Amino acid sequence: MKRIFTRIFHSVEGLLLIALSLAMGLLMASGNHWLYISPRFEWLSQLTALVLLLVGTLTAWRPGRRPRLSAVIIFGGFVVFGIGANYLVLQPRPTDWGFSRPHRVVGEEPYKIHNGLSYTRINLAELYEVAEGQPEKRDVPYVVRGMVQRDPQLDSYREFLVLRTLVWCCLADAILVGFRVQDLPEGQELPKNGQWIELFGELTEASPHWRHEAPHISSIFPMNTHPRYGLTPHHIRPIEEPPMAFIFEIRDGKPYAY
Amino acid sequence: MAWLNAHRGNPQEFQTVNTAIDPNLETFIFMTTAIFMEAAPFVLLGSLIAALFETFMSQDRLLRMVSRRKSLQTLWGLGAGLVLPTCECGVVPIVRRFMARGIPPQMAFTYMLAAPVINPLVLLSTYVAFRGDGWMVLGRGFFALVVALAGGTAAALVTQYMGKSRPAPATTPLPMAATGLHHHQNCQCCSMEGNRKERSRFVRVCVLTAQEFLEMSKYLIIGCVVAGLFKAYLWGAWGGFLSMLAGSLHLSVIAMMFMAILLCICSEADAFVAASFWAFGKVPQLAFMAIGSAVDLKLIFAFFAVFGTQTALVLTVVPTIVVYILSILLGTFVW
Repeated sequence: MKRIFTRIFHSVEGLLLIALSLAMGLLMASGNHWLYISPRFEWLSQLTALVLLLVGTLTAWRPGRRPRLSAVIIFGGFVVFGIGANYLVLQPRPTDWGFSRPHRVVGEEPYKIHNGLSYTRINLAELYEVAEGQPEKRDVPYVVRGMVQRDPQLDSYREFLVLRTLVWCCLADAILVGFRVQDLPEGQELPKNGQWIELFGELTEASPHWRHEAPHISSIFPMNTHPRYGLTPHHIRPIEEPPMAFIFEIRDGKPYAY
Repeated sequence: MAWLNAHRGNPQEFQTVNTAIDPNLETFIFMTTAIFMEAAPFVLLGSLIAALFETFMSQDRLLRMVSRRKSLQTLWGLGAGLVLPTCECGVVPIVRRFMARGIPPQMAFTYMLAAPVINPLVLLSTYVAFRGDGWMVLGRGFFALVVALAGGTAAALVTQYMGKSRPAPATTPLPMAATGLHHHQNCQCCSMEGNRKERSRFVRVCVLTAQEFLEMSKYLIIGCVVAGLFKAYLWGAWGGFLSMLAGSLHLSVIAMMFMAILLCICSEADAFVAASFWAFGKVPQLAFMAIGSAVDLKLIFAFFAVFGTQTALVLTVVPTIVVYILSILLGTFVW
């Protein structure tokens, strides 16, 4: 019996690596991988999980040294309480074997029609690029999706922010990107804070009061709202949070990633 | 999700999460896991390269390749990232193993500070992030070269002065038994099980990779936890404050450097984040990229654990001072 315990103890480092590999695999299979890392790097996570499984299995099978207690405690603690905690927070999302492909827009029209007018579908980061450096495209009507962020100061002007989280690689490099929404149509109420909306409208130059009164929004990520252009809505409608709420891709032209 | 939804007033917004959990705790869990999952592939790659060196490159052969002249050692360290590209997470295990195999500290530290930037992937990502602005790419490369030269030389001097040309033994387990490359019979490593049998080189590489990965992950996890705590509990207040410093060159450079150290962004992605801080201007953006590739929270923990207190202090302080001075000079006289 003692020999068995010794054997297990010597294999514990390999077993921890196997556990990490399985935890990563489960995270991907649950369809929630994109909450951590951009889907364009999902292959890298898959490869890492596979390599960890291989080296973990070999290390468990042929342990080369006594396990280091500090590594076991810290690594084991992280696998159990760190990665494990994610399963308390998350609920599985319905996917076709989990692996999500949010940046592959298949069969979707690059336009949406509203009141007989054709609006180009675009995400807020792509629209930011248009506002920043593509003047020839600024006068086109666009439709965007985003989350409403209100602020008492903005409320006084009947304005609000529409934002989305842009992720390049992982959450560590995420930023909030978006626009001020100004000149709401008559009778249009301010949407609720935190509400996801679809906004049909156009880019317009900033109101003069922006220069002096930047909104002070406390956010978990750095926030980047365009300083010189805002969105003037023609129509706003509340929507459900999209299945992939983050922006992972920015395209230069149509069809935009939306 | 707390960061995705600005407030938690409307229950229907939280269909994907357990609403019983404190939003800050939730953010902490997500952020810590995300940073670890982003860094893990590169630490694993670094561990694999270190294991390959350990297995296939004998110490004699490795040392024969190293020039005795310090200037050439420095040049090799500066340029090695072009042929052995790694990010700042992956480079530490490689350098740890290099030094344990007798590579001079001058070469090793210079490589460690230069490789995360002077490599094709990072330079290309900088070019793309700044929409083809070649000056930002050149500026980033220049900052990295100066930081690597100054930081590498200072760290090497301190290491030699302290009489340690290798990382601290307590934190640098060299599982030689698994390699079968040395001749000690009664030392601790030889008493291990691994020396009993001749192993295939494949198994040896895998076991060494696993051990190196576990050892480095210790420090990575501590760094991720600290970075996650900062993001979850402090960024909301501090981030807004730092963003307000954009008006002055000195303050904006300090703010951007501070953010880079705390945010722990991989050198392959940090250019995109830097580019989003347009309000700060080009020089603070360069400072952000330059310091973040050399020093951040998770790296600081690794430096202290692997290289010892004095060397770690030098590796943290010298790049910080160099980047600050360069930024101020550049901002005052050039841009």
